[in-house]
Amino acid sequence: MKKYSLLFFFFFTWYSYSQTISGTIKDKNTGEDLSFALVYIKEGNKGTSSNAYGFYSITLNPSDLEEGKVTLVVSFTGYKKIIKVIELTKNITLDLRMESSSTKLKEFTVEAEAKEEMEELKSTEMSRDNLKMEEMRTLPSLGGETDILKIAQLLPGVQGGGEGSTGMFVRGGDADQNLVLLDEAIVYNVGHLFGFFSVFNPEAIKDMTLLKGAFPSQYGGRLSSVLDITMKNGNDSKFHGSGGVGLLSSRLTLEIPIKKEKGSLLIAGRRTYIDQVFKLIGAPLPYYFYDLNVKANYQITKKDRIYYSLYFGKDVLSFEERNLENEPDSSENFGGIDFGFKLGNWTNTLRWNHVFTPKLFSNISLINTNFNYEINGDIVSNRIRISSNVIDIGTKIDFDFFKSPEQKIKFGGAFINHVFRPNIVTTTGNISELLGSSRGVKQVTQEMALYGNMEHELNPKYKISYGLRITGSTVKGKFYTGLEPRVAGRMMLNEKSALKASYSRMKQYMHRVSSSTVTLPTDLWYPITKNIQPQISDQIAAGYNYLFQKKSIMITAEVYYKWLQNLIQYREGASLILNNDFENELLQGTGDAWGFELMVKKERGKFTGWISYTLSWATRDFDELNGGSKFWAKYDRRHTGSIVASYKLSKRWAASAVWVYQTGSRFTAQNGQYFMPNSTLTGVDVVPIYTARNAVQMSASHRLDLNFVLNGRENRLFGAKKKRKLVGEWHFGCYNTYNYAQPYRVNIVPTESGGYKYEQPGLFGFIPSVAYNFKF
Amino acid sequence: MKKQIDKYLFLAISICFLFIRCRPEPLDIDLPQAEQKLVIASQIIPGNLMTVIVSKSMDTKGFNIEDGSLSQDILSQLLIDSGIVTINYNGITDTLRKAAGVPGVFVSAGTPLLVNTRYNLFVKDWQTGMSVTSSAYMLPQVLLDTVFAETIKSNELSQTKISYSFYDPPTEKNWYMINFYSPNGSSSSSGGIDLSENDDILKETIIVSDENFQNHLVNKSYTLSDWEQDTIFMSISSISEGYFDYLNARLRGGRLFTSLVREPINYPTNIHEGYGFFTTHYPTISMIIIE
Repeated sequence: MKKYSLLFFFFFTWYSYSQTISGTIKDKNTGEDLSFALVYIKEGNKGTSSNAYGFYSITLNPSDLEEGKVTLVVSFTGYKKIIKVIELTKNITLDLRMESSSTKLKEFTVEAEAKEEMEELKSTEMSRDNLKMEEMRTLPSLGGETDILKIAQLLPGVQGGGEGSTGMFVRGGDADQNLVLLDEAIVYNVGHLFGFFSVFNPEAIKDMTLLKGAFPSQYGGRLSSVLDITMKNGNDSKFHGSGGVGLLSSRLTLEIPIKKEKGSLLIAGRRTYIDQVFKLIGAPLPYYFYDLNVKANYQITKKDRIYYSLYFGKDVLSFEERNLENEPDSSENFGGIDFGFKLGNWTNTLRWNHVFTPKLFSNISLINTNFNYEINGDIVSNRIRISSNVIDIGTKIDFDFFKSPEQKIKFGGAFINHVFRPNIVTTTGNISELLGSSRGVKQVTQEMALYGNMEHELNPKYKISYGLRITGSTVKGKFYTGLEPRVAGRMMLNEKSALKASYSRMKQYMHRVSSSTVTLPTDLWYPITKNIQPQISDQIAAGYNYLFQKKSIMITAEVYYKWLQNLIQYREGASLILNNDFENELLQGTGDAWGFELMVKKERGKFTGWISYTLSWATRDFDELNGGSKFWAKYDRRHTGSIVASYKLSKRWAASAVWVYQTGSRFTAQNGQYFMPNSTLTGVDVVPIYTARNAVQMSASHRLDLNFVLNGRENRLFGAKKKRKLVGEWHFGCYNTYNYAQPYRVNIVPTESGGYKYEQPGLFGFIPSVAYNFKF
Repeated sequence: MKKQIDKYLFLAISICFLFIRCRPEPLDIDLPQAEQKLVIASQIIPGNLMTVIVSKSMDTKGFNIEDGSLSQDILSQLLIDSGIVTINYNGITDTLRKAAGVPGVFVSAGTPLLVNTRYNLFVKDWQTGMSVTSSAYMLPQVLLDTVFAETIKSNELSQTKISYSFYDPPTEKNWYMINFYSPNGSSSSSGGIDLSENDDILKETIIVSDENFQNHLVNKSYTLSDWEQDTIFMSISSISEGYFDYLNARLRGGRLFTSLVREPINYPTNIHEGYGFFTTHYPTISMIIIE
């Protein structure tokens, strides 16, 4: 008994001398949270990184201190390193503001970036890409509009859909298997103009993380990827503005301090005038979109901070042709043709950060998402409205427990209530005899999850991260549950290289019903039902990383294999229009995807960029499709590659280029026909003959985009007497520089000799662009 | 001043770029065409004549549905004019004769229509050497109990309701095809076949299986809106499960130009090495006079 008391006394004494330094890390000028900044002590090999909200915590033992003191070092790419000697006799809270670097502080920047690259090598994270807006802003883009989703398509393992679209197909998955989050709210529709532009205003975005595998257990709900996008907080010290004027759209962002270094407000708006541009060239296109991002945050106490984020966006297509002979005589008789399409996205997130103890940080979020569209048609005295919507209300709670520099624990839970209202139809006039009004079939489901994740550095050579996500979903008449284990590990081979491996299981409790031939923004999201099971994926991945530190080049090679279950496809001959009986039209089957990815990335210096290459296969297997034989997935593209390069030509000029290559996507082609009398013998039908499912591949395509940036000189703001700094930059770019067709479909066209031939048109050719961006 | 002019000129040139847009040259692609095969359709027509229509499939480049009609030229290329069609049943083989003046149509006047008998088809085209075989089972004719039509007028709407009843044998699984059609043809003025939709022609096919039938005597109805003609034909046949699946696929596939909003579909067939369907369903036909 005496022995155990002594042991307990020693342990207690030793433990009580462990001290914790914690706090938040922010940008000194703007007050933006600096996520994943490195915090380490100079004396030992101990360190940590700040979390997504800039909170850090590092616990030190008595053996880590030298005469009760410790030298704390904080570094982050693009910022001057902070070095502080701290006398540590108790737990302390140390909030830090880092100064962004200039050329004079180049050596600090280089060292910080090198450190960050080492941390990336040493972490268990794999199948992951982090992109900052500053990196993305100068890259070439369609029409001069920086588009983070199109940039994501340049990463290994990610394929785009048709030309110009924002669709993403990650590691053999389908387009509805990507979880897109904007400040934690799910974004159901990520594209304006039928997918040609993303809904994310680059001025409002801070950074983006794409996960293709090795999913940490705080993420779930989709099989193939997570695209976690964070909005800027806004400058909490000074009023700032920025914006841009382009050929297709303009945007303006204002950052307003609420109280200096306590809170801020960000408002970012964007509107396209593509309708006016086309009107000028005599080709009416009655379409426009606009979006608004708002974010407010305030530090209530030292331990509490609240955030509110809002996104609102709308697409409007409105075509009106009045028949002058039939002037409307009342509101019931329109007297012409009016056709319109509206699509809206709305997200709200309210978050509360609370620091319970120096080691325990929490975030509680209330989240609301509303995605809706409406199609309306007025023809003479007939009126039709078709609308659909998805409304989510949910809550999430996440805890970060910084147990020690070697061990981090993350745990929490989530609950979302989904309401789906597809195909609400309202008709008046004679058309109501053909198509009656209908409230649609409202479906309400709940989705819930509990998770825990532990990250453990066993020794300098081995590090492991393991966790479990327990999920469930209630639908009418059924309750589904699932266990989703997640494991990732790292083995350092030497100072420069590491081997990594991971396994993840993911479950998906809703799906988007799309045609196999065409994806539309009007495709509907549906929940699982008692007959339609949740989709499941199991993915293993192995990777090798090599860091050329002096050159700041990271080489990443990964292989993966993914098993997919309960995938969803339409039955052959299924009707896609206004079909409330969709459940009977759906089939479930399996799939496999495997491949190899290579990424060579250089992040520092005058010349930066990356080369990516993917070799991949993806198959599907449904008993009732393709005669029960396995077939290729639609976006089974064997080879995909990109070269992305940026070069600082001089103090004012910079250039960037993107070259993309991809094998053609697949489709089911009609390759014959025959004639059959109809069953009433009153006529003859043309019956198409199709190839095996997705048996035909379109031609490979490649494209070069260029962009030149000219940084402007400082100007007075609108000639005002008060000295202001308006800093501008011109972007001169071109899309598809050598005008090569990017096939998106196959047409049959007549030939000069009187026959027909097949051809594949491209959607966009050479498109130059000019844009002016400014900051004040 | 010069700097300002340069600036505006520069801006103007930039805006001019707005109007420059080059459409790239489409890329050619050669899609492998489906192997040409024989296409079979069959029907028992009034007079107890077993009819087999034989044609050839074609590639997608030879004919475009948007042309709207099948010309005589195309028909003559597709319909088989020189070939042999035989039907074997109970050890007896009948050779069908070419219908006079109607290419592609082969008729057997002497083949008896024996219920619960298997008929085996063989077709060979002398010109191409292609041949196909198939087999079908003749099911009993449906016993139609009653069929009548009534017109219902309300407000400005006029509806014609056709009510009919028939006997469904309870002991086995059955599938039925019910056709409603008006007697107008669909020929084009040039002697070909008009493929366009015509609202004045009624051609409705309904297929049902007996899994939801409650009684031995089945009552059903079919309603038409604003039908102005005074005559409708109705035929009802007991069909095989295979033919039911084939018709289901045809109905789901719709017309060719609705394929944009429907999933591609490969139609089932019971023709070995060919397309189409060989069926020996024996229709019961009624002529309905609408008062």
